Amino acid sequence: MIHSVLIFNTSGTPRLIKFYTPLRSPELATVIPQKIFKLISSRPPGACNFLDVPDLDMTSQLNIASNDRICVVYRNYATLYFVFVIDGGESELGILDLIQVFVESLDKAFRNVCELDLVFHFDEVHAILAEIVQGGLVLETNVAEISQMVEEGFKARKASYAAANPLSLSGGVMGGSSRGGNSNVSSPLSSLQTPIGWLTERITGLNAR
Amino acid sequence: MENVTYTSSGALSRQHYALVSKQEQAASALEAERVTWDAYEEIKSRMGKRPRQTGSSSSIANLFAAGARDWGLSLPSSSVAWNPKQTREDLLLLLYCRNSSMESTRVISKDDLQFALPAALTLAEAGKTVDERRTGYLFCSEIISPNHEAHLLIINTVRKDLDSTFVPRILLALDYLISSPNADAIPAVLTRLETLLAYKSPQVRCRALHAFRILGALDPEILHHCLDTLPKRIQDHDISVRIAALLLLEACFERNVVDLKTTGDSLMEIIRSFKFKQSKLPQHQIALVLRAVDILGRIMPNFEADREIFATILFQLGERAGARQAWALVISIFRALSRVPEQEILVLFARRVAKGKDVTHPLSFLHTLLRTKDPNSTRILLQILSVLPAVVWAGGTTNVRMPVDRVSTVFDTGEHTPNENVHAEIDAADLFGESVDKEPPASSLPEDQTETTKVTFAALFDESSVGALIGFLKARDMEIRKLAILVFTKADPSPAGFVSQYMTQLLSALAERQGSVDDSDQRYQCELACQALEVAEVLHSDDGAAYAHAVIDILQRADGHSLSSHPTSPTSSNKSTTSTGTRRSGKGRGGVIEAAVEKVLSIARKDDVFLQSFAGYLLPRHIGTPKGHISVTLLVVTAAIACEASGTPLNTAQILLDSFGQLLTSVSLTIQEMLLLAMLRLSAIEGIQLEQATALIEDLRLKSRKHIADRCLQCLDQISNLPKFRKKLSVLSSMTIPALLSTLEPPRQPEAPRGAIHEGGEPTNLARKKFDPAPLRYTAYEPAEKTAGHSRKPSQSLHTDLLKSRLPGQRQSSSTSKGDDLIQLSILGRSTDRTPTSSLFSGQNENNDNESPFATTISTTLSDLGPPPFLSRTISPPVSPQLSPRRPIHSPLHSPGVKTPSERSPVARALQLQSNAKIVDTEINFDIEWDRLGAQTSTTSRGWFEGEIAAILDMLRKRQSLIKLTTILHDGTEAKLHVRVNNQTGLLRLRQEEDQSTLWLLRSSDSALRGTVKSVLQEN
Repeated sequence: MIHSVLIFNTSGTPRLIKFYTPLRSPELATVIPQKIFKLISSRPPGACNFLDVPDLDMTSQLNIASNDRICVVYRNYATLYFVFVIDGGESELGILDLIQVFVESLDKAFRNVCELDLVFHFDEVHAILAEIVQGGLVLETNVAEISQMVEEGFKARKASYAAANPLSLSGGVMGGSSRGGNSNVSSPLSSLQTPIGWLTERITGLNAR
Repeated sequence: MENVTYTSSGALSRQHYALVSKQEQAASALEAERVTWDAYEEIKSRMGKRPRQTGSSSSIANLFAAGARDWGLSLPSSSVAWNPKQTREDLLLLLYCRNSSMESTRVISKDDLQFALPAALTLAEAGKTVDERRTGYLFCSEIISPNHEAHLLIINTVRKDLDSTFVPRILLALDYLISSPNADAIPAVLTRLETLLAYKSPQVRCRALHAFRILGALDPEILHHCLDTLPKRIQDHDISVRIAALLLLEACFERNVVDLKTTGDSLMEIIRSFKFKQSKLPQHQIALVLRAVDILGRIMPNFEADREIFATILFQLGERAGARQAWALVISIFRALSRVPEQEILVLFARRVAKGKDVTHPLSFLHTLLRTKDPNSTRILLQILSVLPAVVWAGGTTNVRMPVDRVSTVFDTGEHTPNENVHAEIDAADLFGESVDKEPPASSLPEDQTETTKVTFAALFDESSVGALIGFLKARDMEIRKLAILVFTKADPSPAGFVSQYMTQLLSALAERQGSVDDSDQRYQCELACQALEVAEVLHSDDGAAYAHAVIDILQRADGHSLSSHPTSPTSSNKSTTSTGTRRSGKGRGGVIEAAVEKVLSIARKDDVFLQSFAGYLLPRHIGTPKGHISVTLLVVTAAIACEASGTPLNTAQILLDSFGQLLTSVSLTIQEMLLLAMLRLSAIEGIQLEQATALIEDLRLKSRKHIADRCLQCLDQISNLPKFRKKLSVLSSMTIPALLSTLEPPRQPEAPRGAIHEGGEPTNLARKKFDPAPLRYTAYEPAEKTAGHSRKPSQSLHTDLLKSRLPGQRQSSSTSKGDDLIQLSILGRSTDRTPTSSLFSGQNENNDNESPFATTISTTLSDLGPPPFLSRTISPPVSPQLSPRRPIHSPLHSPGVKTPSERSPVARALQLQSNAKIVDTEINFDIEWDRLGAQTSTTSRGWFEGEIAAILDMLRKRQSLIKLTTILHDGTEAKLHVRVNNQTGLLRLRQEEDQSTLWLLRSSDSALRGTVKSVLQEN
């Protein structure tokens, strides 16, 4: 099982903290990321991407049902550490690949993702993670499927936004310029018509038979 | 590009943008924390203050009613109309504030956000768009604690969304059910969940299965409702659905809803159907089989009759997966096999041996892993070796209990017709889409139908390969070293075995250097001690007492009875020990081997039983040790364990208390403080006599300087009111030294928002307060360093780094509003004129190492978005922080101005860094360069810093965009660093004094560098 997904930058600033296991004490939500960051940031260059943390389940009180030892799987991308805390029920190598899948999915969603996207769109990061991991178990590992789901999510949100705001000209939801530097990228939302768009097309004859 | 506007930032709102800007521009962590809390208070004020409600259902109802009233739902007369868009923004900002506060000293807790729950519940229920609903659900799942009654308020919303025909809404509700399961929701959603198991959308089916599994943990009865659909879902065309179905199947088996045979058959059907004939192994199929193997491994011990058949099939699958280098699968298979009795594994290998000498070793694929330099591959190799019986790879002759049929078949005539049923089983398997070994498995025969025979296994590795394996004992990565020790321990577990000899060598080497005052000897001793502790950890992983015995032996050899060499005056001992005694020695304050302390405590705490066993051996041994033979490192470990171990006998605790008291005047300042805390903890034990301890503490107080004298006073104060102190202890989450220290510190007062007027009428200016340095002494006790990028001058703010990540094309000149200019933030550091052409791709490394780390794209080609490496045949390249395993995606779809990959490639920057950096990578080189610079005129700057070395490093690291640091030496009281600013280099030496101030000396031929560093250090 995946107990936690953490992202922090190389300075230790958390960018995403997600626990799938209830913590026995609220303050552990801050203690565990700090401890894990300290461990992985002190790893020598060229070390493997796995780390056994024997005392995490005791001092940190992660509520581990089984007696499996907790393993930290992490990967460093540019300024960010992506960290998954797992027990023996998960394949460590599978999780290492899953981190890659996660990053690829972020990259596809944000078009060349950087740390800034995680700062300003942490809700989107949560949503993308939810496409990959649910309840501590891997939901989907196919980047294409995940990206498709994310895009469909954008479309659905756009559609529901358009339904809720019939006079709006733009997408509003994550559309255009608000999409963290993706304004130049054609969005799947652009193909959807608003009522005014439809009217404009009728007037200009674009849609005339 | 110098500016990034609000519109190009991608911020949720201007408030969000302003919040992030202020946070990143904050001059200190404290100021950033205040910015966060200011924003929180502002949003709270806007949303309407209300009391925290966590009580009964009626209070929840009141809470909801109050929230609804304020949000204009039930009170139409409210002057504030409910604005879902604004609500969404506020909720997201609150979540952002909570996340931001996680690294600060005052965390915005879930309780602090309870006031917004009504709004979140309302948004989830009545949000107009999916985005709004999603935000409502997200907030609820993040903030509502498990079993909180507020879950009841959202059940109806969840049910309505489940009933919706709009797939995104169904998914939202399912996601919420999975992330925040609640037994009370089950009756409301069960019928619909059953329907959703057969829903047309695979995402819905997949989540419905997960929801069943999660809710089934709360009420196993509901699992019966999915039994009809489950077999269909296991055969679903969508792999994710099949994986979810397998997990549900496992949950059903664990709760006796499905029998063992059904479970095993379902899993084996998936495993058998995996085809190896394809040129490229399908990743999804591998993921499915991987999950099936994992589950099968967990339930394997439950099988009796079928176990050997399953093991045989898994063994053959493992061979094929190994040949195709599907390493994740290989590891899972051998881990699953390790759960069957070793004799059965030996039978599997013996059958291969019996085929003749020409047959390749079944594990020959492991040679690939041995040849690679990738640490992950090395770990895979060692993991596989560690779960297998050593004889099958190390070679040798052993007794194998072969079934009679097999023995006669393999070793006698070879014409024996084995059990037809077993053949039929294998024949029916149609294994892996190719011809398979039709040898029948050894069936579980009674004792009288087996025959023990000697089987000789060939060694997998030749001499040079074994040499390479032994080399892993000296690997840089501790994880690799420990695995190597484990492998060799399994290969030769005898008392005179290889690892025992290795341990003896380490201990001898430690003893040889005992008492040496040479720095390099001492540093080597520390390394040896740590490696010996790793061996002890592996050898005694299940025996706390044996581990304690080994720890005592190792630390006493490493320290060389360090207490006996200390002067008895505490005041004189401190400085000499911390300032000179630890120089270059690899030891920390007071001559303590901090790495060893950290390692030992980390292991000792791994579980309660181990800790008690460890303490039960260690503490009495300390009592029996003569004062002159106490290892200072061991003393620190003993003090920590005395605090943490529960159930220490009163007699032992009494002797420990008095013993610590008698040592107080013989140890250095930092250890005195630890001993005081340990004594305080022991004082709280009922029935302990405190007269002697109190007198010794008072004696120390009179002899000590202010810091220790104050600490003594605090301890005496607590001892004088033990009931109150015991009450404090009762609420501590742990009894570690830092936790005990926290009981002595005055309670932290809630800080008023900036600008708030206090009673005196003066606005608070908390930013000027000195940030409380971590009072903890040893790494093992320290919380993670606060290295967040907050402490910056505005002119060099991290926000400028943030802004850099939006390159020219991202700026929307046509759409930039006038307001944007008001919020535009300039990069006041260096403006970098980056051309979008890729120096990385053209093979030229642009000198842009001053570029913000923020500007670095995370994106990765990851073999151009090819298949993940470990599920398939490719071995991942080693990942290092500087040469990360990715490069930005170079895509024709990139807009010209979007941050170009090469401009910020960490690879390019790392390469540039390496090429420009002057090689000062060892202490010797440092000293040579230091002397060389010292011989020149006007190359040295110096000053005092009011804080510890850690605080300086913290401060400098926060300026990492400007100042690059490389630590050459850091032993707690002295540090040597290589500094690099704008391609100029310098050397920095830090020496910490007893009063916690630090003298810094900087040498560089570049005056600008000296000025820059000096200005940073003088900010304090």
